[in-house]
Amino acid sequence: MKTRKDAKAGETDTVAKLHGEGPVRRRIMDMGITKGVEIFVRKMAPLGDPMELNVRGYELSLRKADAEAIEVV
Amino acid sequence: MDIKIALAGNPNCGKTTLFNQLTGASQSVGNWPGVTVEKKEGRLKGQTDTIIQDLPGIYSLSPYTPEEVVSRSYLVKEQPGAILNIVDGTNIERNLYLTTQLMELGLPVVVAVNMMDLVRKNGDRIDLDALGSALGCQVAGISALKGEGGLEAARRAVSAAQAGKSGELPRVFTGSVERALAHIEESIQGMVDSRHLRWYAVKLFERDGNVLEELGLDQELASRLEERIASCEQELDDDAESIVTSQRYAYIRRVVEQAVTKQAAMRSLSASDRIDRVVTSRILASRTIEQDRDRKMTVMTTGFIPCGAKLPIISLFAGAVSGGSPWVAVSAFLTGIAAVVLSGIMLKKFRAFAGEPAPFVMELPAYHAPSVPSVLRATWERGWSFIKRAGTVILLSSIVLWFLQGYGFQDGVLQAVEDNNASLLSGLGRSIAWVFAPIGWVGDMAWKAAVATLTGLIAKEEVVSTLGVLYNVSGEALGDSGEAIWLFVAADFGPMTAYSFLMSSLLCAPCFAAMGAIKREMNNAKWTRRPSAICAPSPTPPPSLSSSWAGWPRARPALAPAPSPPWPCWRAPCTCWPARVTGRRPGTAPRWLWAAGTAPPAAAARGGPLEPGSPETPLWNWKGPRGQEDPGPFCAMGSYGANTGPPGGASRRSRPP
Repeated sequence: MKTRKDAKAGETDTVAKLHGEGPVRRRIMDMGITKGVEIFVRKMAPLGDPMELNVRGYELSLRKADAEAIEVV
Repeated sequence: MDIKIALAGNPNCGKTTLFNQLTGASQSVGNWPGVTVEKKEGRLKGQTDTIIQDLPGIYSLSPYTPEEVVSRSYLVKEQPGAILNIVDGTNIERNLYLTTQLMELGLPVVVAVNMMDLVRKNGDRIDLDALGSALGCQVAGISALKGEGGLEAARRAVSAAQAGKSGELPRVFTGSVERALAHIEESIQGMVDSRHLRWYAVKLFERDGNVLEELGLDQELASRLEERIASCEQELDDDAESIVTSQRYAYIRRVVEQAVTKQAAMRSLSASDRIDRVVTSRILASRTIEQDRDRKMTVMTTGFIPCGAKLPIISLFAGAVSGGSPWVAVSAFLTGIAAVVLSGIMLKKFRAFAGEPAPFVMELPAYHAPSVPSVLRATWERGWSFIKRAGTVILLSSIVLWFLQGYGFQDGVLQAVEDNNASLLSGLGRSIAWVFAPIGWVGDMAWKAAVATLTGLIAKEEVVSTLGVLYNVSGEALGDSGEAIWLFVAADFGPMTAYSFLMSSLLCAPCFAAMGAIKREMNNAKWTRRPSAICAPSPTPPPSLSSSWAGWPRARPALAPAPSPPWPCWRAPCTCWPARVTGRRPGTAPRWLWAAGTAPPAAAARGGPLEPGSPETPLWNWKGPRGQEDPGPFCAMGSYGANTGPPGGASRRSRPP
């Protein structure tokens, strides 16, 4: 299973499924990361965490630990 | 009667700019009851019978953050005449997500697409008419920054409120979801305000804990609905929350395709990328950090961040002792950062701060050039607060200092002294200076440094001003970095003592104002979750509580579900949970505790019926901090939402003597 955690800067992937539960998951979905949406990994923070994503035309910052919940194809 | 317009929108969509523009100076700022979420209200310029209510910036109407809970409670309970929804035109998809939820409330909605100037500049085009007919509401294009169209949009919202009719609901959901929602609507008809029917239906479909408790559906209906939701979930192979979110975004995609033409997405460096992302976080910046624990940790460590007031100290010693070496300032800042990181690691080891890391999912908004009025307003607010401080605290303490260093007992009488080494202040300083001997403060500088450290607690600006008073023999005006006293300071402080003094000033306790802010934020952190917790009395305790029910002798008693709470909800009826807690004091605590055999606190009694936790039956054995005498059994009463933990430490408030 490939999740967004393993992403490298410059990659574009499509979301297959969201794991996890509760507030974090809901927040991730509210921010527009839903099944089938394309995510572009813009860059990583200097120490590799968090990462900056481009989703639905805006920039989203996400911790790697939370990005693990995002399964991509 | 006054017309109320609620201003709603995502964070960073230009809501505050528009609010300032619409209301001018007629603003009142406070807090929403029980939370640190700011509440702003003002009257529309030129139309004083119209109140503009600024809601916090939110992405969604989920039950998970205080901001969102406050907003949805306001919209459902207070029922403003209309909602003016501000949408960032440069990020329209994510912004319309909130719009779809706002429209479900059944209140008149006017959508104001903000940043139209930037949209045009990017070469994009938004067809406002097409957007309006797709959404089924009025849409206006505005640029809050340039002051274009804001008042016009507000006027439209006012007339929409006067007409009182909301548009037809957009067809957001499709297929089996729509059928399930229609079924839920039918089942709960008559139980809720007919305008909010769709809102309640969607929330029930999402299994929103707060709404479930508010409605208190009977067993049979609840299981029927649950069956329906579950079959829908099975059909679409996803959970209800995801289904709703996905369908919303799918709907938005269709709307955007109709109404928005975008230039090919550019993935080169944007202007925002090129601007250095310097985070200027201070204590109050931590307000938006969701998790109590992270919030506390941020607040605790901000004291180490070299703030503007510490800058003069750095420049004084860099100039006077180190010959202007650039490394002094660099090392001071690096030390501050290292102290933050180290104390963060250390704090994590404590129980109060340990645990799962909180979600960190945040938007990195594009930078926008600020408008001149906003800059002036912000400059004025901060400048005025400094003037107030300088004119009161700093001026007064400087006068006191001047007196103390200029007068002393000579020949048994209090009189002006030539040499301040014989002054009252010197005596005072010497009496505490020995404390600082281990870090190398000895000789004549010791008492001066000790006094400066003390006055630094009043305000960090005081350190340099104190040294100025103590060393400024010539009486010259003191510049920012105190060039006038460099010679004297250099004579007293060696390079090592100077550096030691610098470091201790940077790392010692912050000023009283900052300590006050820390205290305020720490207290508030406890109460952040309160509205959702109290508004949603739960018939069953949350898992977090039941896990600490070790030793409870009987099966958990059946508890009457509490009636729906009023808003504001300070007096929401509570359900009592008998609980006997063994082992150490749990991190979770009930809202009220009182000694067995005594009357419950008046405030608890106002909350509703007190059984089964009546004063006669002690229900809670308080295990105080280790070493403290056990004050005996207590009666306990609490009310916590299913999705929220109880407000930790809340019991201390009502802990009996």
